[in-house]
Amino acid sequence: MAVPLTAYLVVAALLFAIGVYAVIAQRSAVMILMGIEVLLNAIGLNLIAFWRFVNPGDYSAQIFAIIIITVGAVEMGIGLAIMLLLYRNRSSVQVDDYAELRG
Amino acid sequence: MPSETASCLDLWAIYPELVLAGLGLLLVPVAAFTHGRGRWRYLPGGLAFTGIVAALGLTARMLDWESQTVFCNTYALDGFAHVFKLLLLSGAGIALLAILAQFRGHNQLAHAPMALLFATLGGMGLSSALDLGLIVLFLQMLSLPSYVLVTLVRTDRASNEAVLKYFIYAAAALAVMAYGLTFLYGMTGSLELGSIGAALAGDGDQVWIVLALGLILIGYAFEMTLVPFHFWAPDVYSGAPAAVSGFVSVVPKIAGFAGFLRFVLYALPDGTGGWPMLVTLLAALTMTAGNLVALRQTHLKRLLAYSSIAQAGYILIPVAVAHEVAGAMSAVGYYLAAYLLMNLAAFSVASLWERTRGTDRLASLAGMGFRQPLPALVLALALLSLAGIPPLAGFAGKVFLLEVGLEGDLTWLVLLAAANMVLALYYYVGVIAKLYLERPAPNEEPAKAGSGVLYVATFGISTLGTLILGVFPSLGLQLTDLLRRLV
Repeated sequence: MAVPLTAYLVVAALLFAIGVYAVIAQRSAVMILMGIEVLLNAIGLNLIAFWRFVNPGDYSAQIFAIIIITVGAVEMGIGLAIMLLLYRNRSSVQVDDYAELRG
Repeated sequence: MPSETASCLDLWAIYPELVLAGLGLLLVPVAAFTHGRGRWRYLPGGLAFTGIVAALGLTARMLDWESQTVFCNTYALDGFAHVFKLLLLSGAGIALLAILAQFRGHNQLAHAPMALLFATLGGMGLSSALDLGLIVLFLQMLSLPSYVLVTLVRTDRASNEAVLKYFIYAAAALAVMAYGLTFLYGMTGSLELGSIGAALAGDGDQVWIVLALGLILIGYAFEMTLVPFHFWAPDVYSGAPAAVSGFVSVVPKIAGFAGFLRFVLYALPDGTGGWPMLVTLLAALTMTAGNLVALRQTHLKRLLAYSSIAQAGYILIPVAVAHEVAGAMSAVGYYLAAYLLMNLAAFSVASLWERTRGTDRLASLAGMGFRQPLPALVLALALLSLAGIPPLAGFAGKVFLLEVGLEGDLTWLVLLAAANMVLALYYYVGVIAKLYLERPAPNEEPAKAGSGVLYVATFGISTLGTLILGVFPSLGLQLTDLLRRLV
């Protein structure tokens, strides 16, 4: 029995919700970064599901999915570099420790 | 030259972008080589500035080309793209001068130009992109180098905090936006903005269109610093070095407006999904909240951050009617040009103050008009222009914005904007009064160094630009009228 499009979309929406929750609720910057990666995976799953069910003859959506994966990798690279820099300077990547700029 | 080849590799169409990309790649090893080598550190900055001027020339040469799409309908070459590229390149050029001036004699001098070039390249691509994949790619290309710029001084506490906030907000906002874009693909089976627009105009499911639009708007609103997606801006602008704040307040914002206009005019023409109403609400919210919070700021960079949020609200007035009022696009373009010049002028004075005094407290500006007449004059003119005093560019720009708003039947929004402009006068004039009416503190040590030739060049270009654009608005309008030429 074939899995319907809706099932893929629901899983992607769940991933998206988990990602948003992680970004909002997590206090460690590294965990927030993980949440963002989950968000990107929701996008990838959505894209591939739509490609398969809506327009399987056109491969451009697959290229879009690869772009999303690349964006995730690059974001992880620069994100971890930023975390490392912050950790070296202040020995902490808890976002609550970075709350001096306000007003 | 436009050719009729069937191949999608139309490299002739992107010479300006190729110049910047090639130079950016070249600067990677050059920056590493010149790091810590005395006068050699000026080399990357000089090369980058030359490249930006060359790209400006190459783009200006394209202005009278016929509108067309290249790279298999994914990249637009039209008046809209060219004018926005000219704006982005001018902003990047002036910001580069300010960054070089602020870091003169420091090691950051070698690394900043490379990041600046790549961010500008992302913005230029965004003003041309017609494909959802390219939009996501260019938005990332705009943001990633900006993080590097914000944290140029790696040991600075404030910069560290600024980059953390910038990164988390940007990454989350752009991911949410890309999720929204996938629904557009799902509804239409196409990644190309034009075909999406055609498919949605016929029989799109309104609920899904509104859902996708809401998600997509978050990404663009983040780039344009619209309330309530503006929280990152004041922290990033006040944590980053002032010259970098100038860059981040100009280039990503202009690119955001370019990308948003391109997106709604192609994918949702005729106001599908109710975006004009949403934009109107965001405009009202952004200008009011920005101005109200700006009233009680005690630091110059933070004040300029909230002022630039409010300015984004004003620019949204013509954006909300861009699909029905003919003059809306040139009003957006003219105001963005004015905004670019006056905002960079103000931030470069903040950068001079940060370099010589190490602070941006408004109290430290007391009596600046007597101690340092030139920077004080530049700051005063920039603030008057932001407030909208004739004959400066900000005045003509605001007149065009309000005119377009009235033409588009947004009378209540125009009245609200006018009230906001009066309110904003209070904090702009407050700073100017500090410069000229207050005496400097008696025990204050005199400023360390003079302005230097790079600062004088930055001040000169941005202030003269504001004056010329304000006295001869027709010059700017002639150029920005080209914005109406879409593929």
